[in-house]
Amino acid sequence: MPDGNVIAALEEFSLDVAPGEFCAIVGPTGCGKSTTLGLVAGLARPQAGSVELFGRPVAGIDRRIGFVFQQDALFPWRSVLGNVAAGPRFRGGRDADMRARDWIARVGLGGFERSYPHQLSGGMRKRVALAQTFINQPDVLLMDEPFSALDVQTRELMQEELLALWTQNRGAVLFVTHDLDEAILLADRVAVLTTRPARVKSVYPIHLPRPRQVAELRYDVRFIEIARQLADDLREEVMKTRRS
Amino acid sequence: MSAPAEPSPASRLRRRRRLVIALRLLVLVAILGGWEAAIRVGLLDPFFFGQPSGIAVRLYEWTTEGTSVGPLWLQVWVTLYEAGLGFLIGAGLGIVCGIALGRNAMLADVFSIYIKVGNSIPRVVLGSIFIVSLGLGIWSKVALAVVMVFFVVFGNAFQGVREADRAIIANARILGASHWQVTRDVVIPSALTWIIASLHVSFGFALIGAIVGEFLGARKGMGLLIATAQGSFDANGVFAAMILVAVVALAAEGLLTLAERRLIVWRPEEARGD
Repeated sequence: MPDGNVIAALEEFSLDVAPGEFCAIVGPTGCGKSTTLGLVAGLARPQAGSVELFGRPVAGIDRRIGFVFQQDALFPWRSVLGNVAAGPRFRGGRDADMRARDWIARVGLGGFERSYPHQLSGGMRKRVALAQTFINQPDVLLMDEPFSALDVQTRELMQEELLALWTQNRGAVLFVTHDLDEAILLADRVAVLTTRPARVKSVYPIHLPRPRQVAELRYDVRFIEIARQLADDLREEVMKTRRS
Repeated sequence: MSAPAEPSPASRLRRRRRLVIALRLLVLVAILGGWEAAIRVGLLDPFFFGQPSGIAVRLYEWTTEGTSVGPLWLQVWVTLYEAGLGFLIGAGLGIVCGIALGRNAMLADVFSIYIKVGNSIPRVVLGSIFIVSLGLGIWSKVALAVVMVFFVVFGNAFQGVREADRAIIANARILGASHWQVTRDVVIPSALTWIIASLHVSFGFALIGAIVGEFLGARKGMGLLIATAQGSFDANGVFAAMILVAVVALAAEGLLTLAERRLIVWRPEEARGD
């Protein structure tokens, strides 16, 4: 921190994610959700304590990790093809371009290979970001409010897109969001965090059948029931933040 | 009978442009004419202030008969050569040092103090040292131009590296980029906007460096031309050389703008404006 103040963002934070599990983290704004992902990714180091990944403490960026950012993190000076092929090229893999073309087609952007990010809509840029991440076939996928900047319709489309891609890949997903509905619609488990210092308040298993159709599930009675219960929990947390 | 036709926006725009050009010419004629007239009626002494017709004559003589220090094209060429060489070396050093210091905190911590001190020295003073140590040939001028250019380009390259988007760098690292790959594929492309902006300004500085260097001591060049004219109280000669320098600077500026446009082709954030 530039001003020398240290804020304990996380305290006794413990959350296990099984391989192939889709876990969503929901919590009030500024509770340290993004910090958590940064620690798991190895982008930041914990001041105390440790983060374990695949049973070992995180020391730097692991190659088996993928990260989809909240902001636009595409390379603006590279075409869609260059962006998607970036991972394999950095890692020195062969036929990066061929694989990139395949992934561009899979996210439905065939024909846009030579376009630059600024020529695409927000939703299309997110598709590029997904292809860019999935091409590395991550075992653990970290997502930091990836769809929060999109409009409602695009967001729904992207959620279905993500589920479809994940079904093919089946890595563990840690999905941070402040949108409770999104968490329930996508995840196997939803962890609700407390305010700073963040702790896991409770973990809810979501027993909704897969494959899920996000658009229809939204109006399902089971979904609504779970959503109400979690919303009550979260409201309690938000009120606590207000008071302090 | 229909109402008088409203002028179309396009023709109104054209008319306005023509008016601007006419007014510009008017200003030029007023200044030059006023100056010439003031000399002719004896309000100003041409010995001290020169006169437009005299300047034109001097330029004509220089082009047809050559200057007191040799043919005119040679003076222009020597100055351009010194400025160009100094610009290339200074810009190259500035870019390399700026990126190296921007990407390496240790280097930055060690060298930033020296760069600050170096930057605070009035560059022109260094000209005297360069003349003493490198002689009256082109290298003392090249060195001064290098120093003039270096700090501008270095500052911008350094800042450009520091301004590189954190999220894009994090993304590249996650995707598997090494430190060097991050520098090459993320930091340099994003710093390029800053660097190019500094190149534009710094060619002018290179020209100043070369001319001041020649002013302090030289055998050829436009700076020498000015110094010689000054030495013989030739006001028209000083003005003529000044006009030459301005023409050269404007031509170089135009060339740089052209080169910049070429680079912009692959810069998406700029291409959007087209």
